[in-house]
Amino acid sequence: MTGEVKRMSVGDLQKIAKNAEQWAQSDSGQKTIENTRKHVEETTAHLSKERIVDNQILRMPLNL
Amino acid sequence: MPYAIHSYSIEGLVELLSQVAKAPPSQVNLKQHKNYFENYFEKLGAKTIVAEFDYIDHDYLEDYSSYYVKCFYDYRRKCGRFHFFQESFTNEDFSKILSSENDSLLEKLKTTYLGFIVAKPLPKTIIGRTCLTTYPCEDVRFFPITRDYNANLFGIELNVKTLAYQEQDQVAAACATSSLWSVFHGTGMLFHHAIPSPIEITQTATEKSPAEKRNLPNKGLTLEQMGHAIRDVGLDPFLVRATDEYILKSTAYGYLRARVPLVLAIQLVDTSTVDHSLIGGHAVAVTGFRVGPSEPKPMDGTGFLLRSTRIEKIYVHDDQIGPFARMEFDGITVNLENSSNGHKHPYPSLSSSWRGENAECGKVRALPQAVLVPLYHKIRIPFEIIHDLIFDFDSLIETLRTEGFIPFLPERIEWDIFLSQLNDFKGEVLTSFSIPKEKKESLLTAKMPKFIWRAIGSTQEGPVVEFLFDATDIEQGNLFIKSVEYNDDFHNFLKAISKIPDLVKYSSRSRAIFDWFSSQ
Repeated sequence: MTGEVKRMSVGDLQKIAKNAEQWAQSDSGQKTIENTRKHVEETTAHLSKERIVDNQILRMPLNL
Repeated sequence: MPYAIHSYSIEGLVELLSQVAKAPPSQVNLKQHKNYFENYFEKLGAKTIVAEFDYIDHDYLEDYSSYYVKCFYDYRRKCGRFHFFQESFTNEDFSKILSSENDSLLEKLKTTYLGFIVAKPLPKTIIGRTCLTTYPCEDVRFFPITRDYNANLFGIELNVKTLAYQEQDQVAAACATSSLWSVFHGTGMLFHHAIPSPIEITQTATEKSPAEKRNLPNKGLTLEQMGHAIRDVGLDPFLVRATDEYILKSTAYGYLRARVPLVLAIQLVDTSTVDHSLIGGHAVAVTGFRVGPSEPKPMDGTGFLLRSTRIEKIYVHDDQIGPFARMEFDGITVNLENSSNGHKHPYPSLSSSWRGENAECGKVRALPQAVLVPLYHKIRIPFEIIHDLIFDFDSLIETLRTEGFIPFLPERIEWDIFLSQLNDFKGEVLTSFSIPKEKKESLLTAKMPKFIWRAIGSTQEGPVVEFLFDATDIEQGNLFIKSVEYNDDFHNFLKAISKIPDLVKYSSRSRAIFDWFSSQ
């Protein structure tokens, strides 16, 4: 995956981008993107909660 | 005689330690350090010990002048220091070096030096400042926190690359102080602050403690108190709960790669007993990790791939075990009663070298609780911000990939996210084979902040893209600095899709990346 591999032509990339745009504007595309975002928000909210140190851990004596 | 030369054996080392401690060898043999050093020196191939007597150790002297000198018992002021070599030589050989008659052996001593242990003249807690070389790295073990330590042995300049370690003395320091002391040896060089002695750490940590508790003799610190000690050296404490293995691995890796050591707070559980008894809280300094050939473990329920999930073991300075002690992520859970509902619950755990009640090594499990990272005040953006941003970006890219819009990307991207100093990044750019030559100059001459977060996206074929973020910015700022091009197709693809509003409109966290590509 370095610059040495065969590159896509500008035309091919434009075609891909056009298809992606059409898909993003379609109902199924919108729904998929929205579901992805929702999943991201739920996961990051869960992780944020998991990372918080509670008082029990904060004041636990480390004494062995 | 101010020194003695011994062929290395664990019995010989125990004898030397017991001489300095004025304790019977049977007492030294009971220490977990004995087993640890036996295995460690065998792996390092130690052949000879040079024992130096009447050695004055700065850290012990601080503890001595603040505490031991005021005891009725006449504790000694001077320590022993034992140097270890992979070379075999005799008393006579060494004597010749000191009379400049054996220069070839002198050079060999320098190249085969394994480091030293300072033995404190205390009856039980003998292991003082210890600087021993690491396990061989072999491309799988990483010890990013190590630095050069010099030892002058009767005029012979010896050098070892390591991170200092010492056992708590249970008076001036408990495990928490010892782990902080090791961590400060790393951050002191990295962020340029003075390195306090164990008793100074304990004193600053407990300065604001409630008056009902004695600070000395010290019976341990809390994470809150350790935070005070970190502030006292001019750094900011950053605390993250680490009961989740994914959070522990990713956070620890993110900072260790930038040579920032951290404290891991754990609870030890003895599984050799029927009811899995809780031994108590413990603190260790995390000093390295081992990345295996295994596949990355996707984040739960997402498929998001991080390189840090390949970590198989971490290496810790455990003051009750030894330096660079292994703790393995072996997937074993420990069933303990949940305090909220009284039901037994499986908790993830790591292996440890502690001995259980049945004296068997391996039966004591470590339950990770939190990581405490001492940070330079200008490193304001924490790991989680970059992690969540990349996760956001990756989710959209993976959606597009699975829909068939990225035919040149055969598999999901694996991300390597870590903090870095700008000079380290530029050093890597200069020697990189993955970055096209014509792109190097603009990267090397670009003005960037001193601390950056790097997120390198790769497939099995190599790196695809790298994003650089300003670690010194504020959270609501535009953290994104620039992208490093490894793959033209992916770069051009990002440029094209970043101009499609319907695709990127929901990407709130990663919006800055798309905005940057859109402006290219």
